[in-house]
Amino acid sequence: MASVTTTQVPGMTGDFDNTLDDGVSQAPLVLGEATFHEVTRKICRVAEAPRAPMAWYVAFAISTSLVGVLGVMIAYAIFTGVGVWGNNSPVFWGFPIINFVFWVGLAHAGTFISAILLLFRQKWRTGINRFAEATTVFAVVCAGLFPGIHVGRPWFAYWMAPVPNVMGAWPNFYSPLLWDAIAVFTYTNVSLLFWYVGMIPDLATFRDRSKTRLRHTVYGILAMGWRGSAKHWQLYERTILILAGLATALVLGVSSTVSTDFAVSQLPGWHETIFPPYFTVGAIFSGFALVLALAIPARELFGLKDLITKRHLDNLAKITLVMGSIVTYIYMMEFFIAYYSGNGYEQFAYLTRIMGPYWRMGWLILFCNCVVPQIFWFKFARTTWWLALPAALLCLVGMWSERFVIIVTVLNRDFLPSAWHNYAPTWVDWLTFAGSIGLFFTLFLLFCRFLPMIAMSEVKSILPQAAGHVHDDSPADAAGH
Amino acid sequence: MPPLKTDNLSGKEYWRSLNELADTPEFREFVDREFTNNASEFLNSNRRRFLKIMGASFALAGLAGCRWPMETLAPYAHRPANRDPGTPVQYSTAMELGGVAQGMLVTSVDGRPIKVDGNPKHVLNRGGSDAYGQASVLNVYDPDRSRSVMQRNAQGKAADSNWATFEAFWNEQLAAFKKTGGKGLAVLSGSSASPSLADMHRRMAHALPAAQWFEYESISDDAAREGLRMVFAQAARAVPDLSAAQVIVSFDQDFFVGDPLAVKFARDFARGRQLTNPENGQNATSMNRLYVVESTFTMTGSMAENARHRIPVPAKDVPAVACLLAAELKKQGLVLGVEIPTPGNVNIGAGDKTLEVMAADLLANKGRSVLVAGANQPPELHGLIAGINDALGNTGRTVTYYPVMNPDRPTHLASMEALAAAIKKKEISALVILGGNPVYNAPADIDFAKLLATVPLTVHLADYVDETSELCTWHLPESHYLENWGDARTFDMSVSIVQPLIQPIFGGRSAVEVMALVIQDPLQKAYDIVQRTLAIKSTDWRWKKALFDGTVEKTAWQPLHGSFSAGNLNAALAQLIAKNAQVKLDHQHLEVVFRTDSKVFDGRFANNGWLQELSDPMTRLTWDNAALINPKTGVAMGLNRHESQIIRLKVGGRELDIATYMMPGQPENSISIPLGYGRTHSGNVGNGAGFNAGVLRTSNAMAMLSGVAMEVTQTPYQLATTQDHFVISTIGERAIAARVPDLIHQGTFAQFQKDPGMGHKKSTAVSLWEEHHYDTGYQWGMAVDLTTCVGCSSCVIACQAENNIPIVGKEQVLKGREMQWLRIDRYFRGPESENPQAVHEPILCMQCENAPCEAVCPVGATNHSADGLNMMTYNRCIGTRYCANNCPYKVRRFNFFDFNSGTLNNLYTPNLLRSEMNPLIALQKNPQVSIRVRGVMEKCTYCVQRIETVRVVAERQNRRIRDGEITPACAQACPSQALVFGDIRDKNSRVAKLMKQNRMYGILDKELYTKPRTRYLPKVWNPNPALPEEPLSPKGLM
Repeated sequence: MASVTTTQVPGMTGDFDNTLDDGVSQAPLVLGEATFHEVTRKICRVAEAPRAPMAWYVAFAISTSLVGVLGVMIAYAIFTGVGVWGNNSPVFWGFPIINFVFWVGLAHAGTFISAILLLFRQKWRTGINRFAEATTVFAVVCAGLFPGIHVGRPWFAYWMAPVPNVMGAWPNFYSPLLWDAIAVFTYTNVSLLFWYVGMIPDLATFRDRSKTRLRHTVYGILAMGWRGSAKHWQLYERTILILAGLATALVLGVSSTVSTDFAVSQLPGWHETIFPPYFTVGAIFSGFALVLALAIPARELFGLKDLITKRHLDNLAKITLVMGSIVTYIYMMEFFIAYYSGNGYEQFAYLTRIMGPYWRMGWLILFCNCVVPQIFWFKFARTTWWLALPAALLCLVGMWSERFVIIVTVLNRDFLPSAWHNYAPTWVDWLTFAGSIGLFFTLFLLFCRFLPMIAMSEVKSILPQAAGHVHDDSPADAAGH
Repeated sequence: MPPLKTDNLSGKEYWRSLNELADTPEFREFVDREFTNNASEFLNSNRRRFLKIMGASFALAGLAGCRWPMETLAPYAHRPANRDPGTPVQYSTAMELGGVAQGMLVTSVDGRPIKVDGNPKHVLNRGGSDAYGQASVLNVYDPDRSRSVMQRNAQGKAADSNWATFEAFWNEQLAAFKKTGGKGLAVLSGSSASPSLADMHRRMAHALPAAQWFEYESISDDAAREGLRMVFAQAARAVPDLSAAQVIVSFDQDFFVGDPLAVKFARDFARGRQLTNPENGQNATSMNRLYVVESTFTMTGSMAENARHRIPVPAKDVPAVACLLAAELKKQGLVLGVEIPTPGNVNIGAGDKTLEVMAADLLANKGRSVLVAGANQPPELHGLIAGINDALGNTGRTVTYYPVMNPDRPTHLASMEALAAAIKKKEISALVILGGNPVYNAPADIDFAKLLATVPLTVHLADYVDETSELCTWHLPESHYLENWGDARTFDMSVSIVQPLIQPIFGGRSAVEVMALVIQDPLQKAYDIVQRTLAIKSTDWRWKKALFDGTVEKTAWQPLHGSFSAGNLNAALAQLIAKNAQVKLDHQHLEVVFRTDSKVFDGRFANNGWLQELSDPMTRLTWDNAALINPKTGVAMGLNRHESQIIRLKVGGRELDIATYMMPGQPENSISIPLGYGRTHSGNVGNGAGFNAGVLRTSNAMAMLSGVAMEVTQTPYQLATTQDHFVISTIGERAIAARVPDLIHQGTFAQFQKDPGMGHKKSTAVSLWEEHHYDTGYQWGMAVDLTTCVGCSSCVIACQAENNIPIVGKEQVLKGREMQWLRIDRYFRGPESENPQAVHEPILCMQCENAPCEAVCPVGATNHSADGLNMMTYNRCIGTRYCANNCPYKVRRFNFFDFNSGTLNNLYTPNLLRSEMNPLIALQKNPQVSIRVRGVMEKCTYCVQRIETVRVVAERQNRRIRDGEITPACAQACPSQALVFGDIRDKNSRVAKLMKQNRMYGILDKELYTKPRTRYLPKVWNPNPALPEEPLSPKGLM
């Protein structure tokens, strides 16, 4: 790998447009005073400030209230029956599964950034990978909530796992739900490990800068005795690389597996070979939209404009555009194949999507997922927060609606017209969904306040000063540069 | 449950003690408390809860048991000495509905009846039963039933009393009446076919000659009686034999709903349409043909051969159409003994051609045709129809006239009017009402409630504290037919003994017993009275045989052989036709037709949850009735085509607010309304369901009413239907039209004769995997004949009763969470705005060999058995509901709530705060079938409990199960025998003979290769070649 000389231009601040490539030198990825110390200071001050910004408290209050609502809603459903939701016959799956698939999808950007971009040696990822990974972990937590509570008898949900028991009753390995459970379980573990292991050197920094006994102890335990020795770094880099390899497979695997919940069934509109790539791309699309939507306020709120630069936003928006375009292509393929199959049931499933009782949702996803990302062809839109943020949020709305449409419009009108029945969520459904958003933000806000939001050690490795410190063939190079 | 006294339970004492123990105030209170709140007992107390329910059931079983030693009887199948606890035993009994007895065979477990079926030996039922009969067992255990004698004081406040108090009170009254020969005493009875009650009537007339006897039934067959009286000089009952008829013409007669003979009609009708005889595999060489002239789109109308065989006309025009047919018959050469008046311009559209063809068809089938008039039509039409039948030589061949009990009684309406007049003249000082609910269903202009208040002493015997009881001085609890002895005659007047299976749970007495009390008969027990009436002692072998057979031998009456003479029919008919011609129908002057409801009959089953939740075969409505309006008329009058709204019907100062239901196939400017809804005192289930059409029903318009104005309000109303819940968009309708031909194969009899395979092609699908071959042991399967299924829905209730299926309430039906394992889909055929046909398709679990549900269950809770059943393991199910998503037939049902506990009003309350299952309701449950908890999936099992019961017996006897030994509940109930179950591997089984037919098809088998075990024989119509189907509009089926 060619060693890079990043020029530090004094006076370049967060609003500097570093998105231009002059073909000679690489654009700077860290703006402002880009010294090791300054990077440490900027990131640590968020966690070390005695008080968080007022906005943090407001957001945290709202989020935790929603978590409370979530708890009440789950308890209500468990003690009363899943009939408190809108699920019916034939729409046996409703909001819980929609939300599950949606949250699993959101998780994908973090892993994609940390693992695939790492393997592709995209240095700009260092500014955003930590909190992208955090969104992964928190989104998986939100996602993992739903399969457990959506079953009719949640107290037996663990029967889906291959737990050895005296009766010798095993789960049914033919069932995609079992694959799904395994995939999500694996994904949770790997993404949690990946996130945590990557954080260890930064936690050590936190520990070393601690001024109180409590902080010192807590960060000390979390840092697991990191001393920054060469051996530590070597093991660290190797572990990260292995986990990145695993996570890469998971990026492609988890949503593919989730898609088999649908593709393996035989309902027109679900039973499709395109589903695994479709779900994966959709997941990455929504994940990037989420990271974009979070990065914009985060850099404003915590003064991290020098580290999460316009170039980062630019790149995130570009990937969102690419993924959105693939999603559009897949929509076109779905409609084409439905037409081309000559199968009336299949054709009807797609027509009813845009002309049936939920046609508004159908057109909404086409607008949000196909039309809206197209503004990212324009750099002005990519780097202007008041355009990029609403666009990203619309992409999220579009992807949630897509989950809704895939699940509801297929189930509500399947084979026998006599069984057709529409679906309407109840207030419990809505509050549970809102509660899961609250849970996500509660975790995310706690993370922003108490953990290193940006990977200090990795950002430092892309500073010009770092160029001489590592050897070209070291694992750290592959991992960090 | 409160502690029971359990000391000194031994020997003979045992029964008495149980009696006492059940009589402890605590226990009474426990049973009385509708909603017991055991908040502290949540999920972990299942075993205790189970024991409690068993305890309660045992206690009540004991109550029942105490009856047997006292009164000897011969059970149907097993001797009591050999009775094993937990082993179901069957007894024959009889249920009376509309004045006709149906022979029933009741399954009882440990002294509690749990299932009612048709008695295979009974002349009416022949093993089949209707939904009313199937559901009647639920009423026995209805917690809302009247629980004690009640006395109302002068202030109108009711207080619990008891029989002894009433008896003492009555004896005082009677002493006074005896002095005057019973002057001022009146009895109001329902229509009854009970010889014992008739005997009581005679005895009263003897003992108290001045006492009066009135009879009233709101849904009555008087029109037929009076019509036949005109032409036979004697009241009679016409009993058509549809099995002997090649050509059947119905004039507003719905054979399959509300008629007391519906079970017989369905069986006979099906016999003439069965294309392959399952007994020998022979194909039929002829098929009957049905023409229908009707005012409401009924199941009978849906069986008409095609749209051109059904003429929808307003009810008032039905006699006119009959006259047109008669004139046409005369024109074609029939010698008819009736003068046919020329009706004014009756608009029957293209029906002229139909009548011409119909007449030719009738003439070509003299002696093998039958015309039938509906009970709601005037006597003159019944007379005319009898004349046409007579002229066609059908009398004695396809229609038989039986004498009726008490032929000289006035009509029910006249009787009610006479009673009203007597009350107005203050001639009545004491009125005893034996059953019935006149305050609810007497003609509105009589205002029975007001009259009742003026009678000094009123006594009402009723099974519920209903609208009438609320206004009477005394209320007496009535025993259910499964609780007390009795007798009743069926259509051919043969007598069945009503045999009880359980002691009256709430101490009720029957009408006969109350009459015995009223006249101080020396015999007070129905058991003794019945023996006296029938002159058979219980020690007599004839008694035992009667109980065994369900019918007393040689009690049938000879059919009438009177000869037809038009007599004064001519004049009456001319007058009727002229009068009806005066009646103009338009948007300002609509017609309203009152119909018997397919579920609650005249309202008497209003508190039966199974029936309330059963979807009407035509409208698919549950929990409501509605005004059925032709869409063309409705839309022209500004009604919403797709969504129900409240309309106000006004006539002569009376008003009815009712929800609309657009019913294709209704005649224009005519609205049909089922009776029996809008009850205010029926109990928790029936209160508030639907609209009481009775408020428009006056003594001159008991069946139909004209000149009704309609006011459209913008108040929306939610009707809970189980099909087409929502507006189906254009693409949805197009899709339905495109796929229904695949779901319902159909053709004509002519096609069938040319090719019995009906062009059906076997599935050419192949599996990617090596398939499992089910080629050993028994392989269960079911054949469903769409041609003979009339859609009557008795199978649905039979399944519900057999398999402990809970009801869910209107709100949950609206959400699409109904639980019935078996449903009957209804699809319309042809343009909806004009005159469509309807097809009924029973859908139960297909028991697919390649079952899509099985592979996707993550915990393996649903699996395939070696004998081809798709099984459901409730204990293992965690409720992911994936199986139901993947079931293309949507036959799986999910327990979204704990439907078996608490009440339907508090489903949304957490379990902690809900009561457990009412112990009384628990008594009805079939102990061979698990009660499902919330959160698990359930589905049709082909009644696996019945299969296993027989298998155990067969294996112990070391033999194969014989064909016909196992009958699932649905097939057992089916009066038309459209469902045939058996071992498809056994080449000699009936089901295998049907499965062999090339026209047999599996729904979606071609598309999905599910290899269903429930397979269907196509719907075959037999249109007259002169009336071919008009080409369907592009919409085609929908």
